[in-house]
Amino acid sequence: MVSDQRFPLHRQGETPADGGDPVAAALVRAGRGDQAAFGVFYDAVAATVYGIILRVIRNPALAEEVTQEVFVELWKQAARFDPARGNAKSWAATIAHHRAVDRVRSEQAARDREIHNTVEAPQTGDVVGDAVVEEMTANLERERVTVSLQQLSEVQREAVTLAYYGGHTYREVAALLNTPEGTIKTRIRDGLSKLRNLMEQPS
Amino acid sequence: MTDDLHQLAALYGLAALDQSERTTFAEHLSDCESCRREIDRYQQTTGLLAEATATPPPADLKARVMAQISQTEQHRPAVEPTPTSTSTSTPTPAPTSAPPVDTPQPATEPVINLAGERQRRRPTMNRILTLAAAVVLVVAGGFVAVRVIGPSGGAVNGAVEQVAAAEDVVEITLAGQSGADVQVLYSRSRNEAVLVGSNVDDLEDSQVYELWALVGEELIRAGEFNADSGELAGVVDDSRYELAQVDGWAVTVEPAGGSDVATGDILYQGSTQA
Repeated sequence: MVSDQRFPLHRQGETPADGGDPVAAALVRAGRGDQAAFGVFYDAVAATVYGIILRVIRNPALAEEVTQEVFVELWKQAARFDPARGNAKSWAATIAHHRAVDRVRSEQAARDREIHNTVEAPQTGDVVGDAVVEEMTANLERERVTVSLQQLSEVQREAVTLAYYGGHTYREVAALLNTPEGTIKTRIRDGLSKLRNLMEQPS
Repeated sequence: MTDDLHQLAALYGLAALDQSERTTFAEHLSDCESCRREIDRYQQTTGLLAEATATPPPADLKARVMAQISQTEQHRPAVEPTPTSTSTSTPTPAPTSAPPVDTPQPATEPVINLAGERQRRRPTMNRILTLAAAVVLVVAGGFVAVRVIGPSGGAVNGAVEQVAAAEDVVEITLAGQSGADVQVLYSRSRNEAVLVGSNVDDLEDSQVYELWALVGEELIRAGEFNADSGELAGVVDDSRYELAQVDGWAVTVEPAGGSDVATGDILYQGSTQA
């Protein structure tokens, strides 16, 4: 089961303890109080963590503040990271994403973001097509994400990206798209499942 | 309802549930291994979605993060049910690997394990919470080993630990400066009491905290204590009175060596009467 959860890209040199993932190994050491190891972990995941927070929050100063909070949280939680359940970067990204979403859903931030949304509202749902893709480099994993997203139906991609990158609940997505909530739930679920299958395939 | 809940895994993974649904699903997760696996797998997918937006943070952020974590206490592994475990590399799996912001850990922090590698000093450890948790857990099942790490070395720690773990331990909270936690823990059966505190001010070398026992109308000296990194721990001196007759406790700051009569203002005080 465990190996099924891993990505082909991470399989090289894998060992059962930490998946052979040096980032996971650093995080496990950090969980025992090793600050230098946490520094290594920071270097490996900082761009991912800051990037998703910035994407959701959209305000660089606030994103930086939240990033710092998230890393302190990651330090506190490090001992609870279980390498058997997934890779360290995804773990960090998940905590970062949830924290960012929580922040934008808090009242003040939500109000701020309304302004942004009116400026750059994703009318067609082609969020990935423009803003995100612009930021993507030729990095292999990014390319896989881009390619995988393009294989979703347009309505699935729209629902998934509005939820994930936009930080919206499915109810908000439904309201934004003027579509029944049940339909949006289905689109998100089917879209994410398809993405997962695409990304879990060996490249 | 359960079928519906299973269907929420993808939405949970994208943080697309609203607060109440998220809480409901998080509760469901703690009972549902198949949903936990789903969440773990979705987490890998959303991790890649996050990587697609990777952006280097400002260069000076790392220094601030490293400075802050050096002052920040870590949570212990989620559960350590076997005090004799010698495992040093594998934390016991948390109920779920979903992020803590979604699935709050139990309010009572698990007590640190005596065995294994975790016997190092934790400078900012909140000993009060640990002791409170220890008392709860010991009373509840008696299966958890307790380690109290204090500023004053092994012998004092041993005494503090034993009093804290006594079945009849009574905690008397001494109120005072906000932010600080100061308590006297008293075990009648052991006829022993200890003073523990955290987030108290460290004193200069020329000063000590002195504990006073209020017996009737009289304040009787009950030991001197030094704070280290905001933490106090020590055995109460009961050579001048009977612990069972104490009506209350008070703490003052006195010149090093202590005073026979309190000269400083009372910083913390509490009554033994319920």
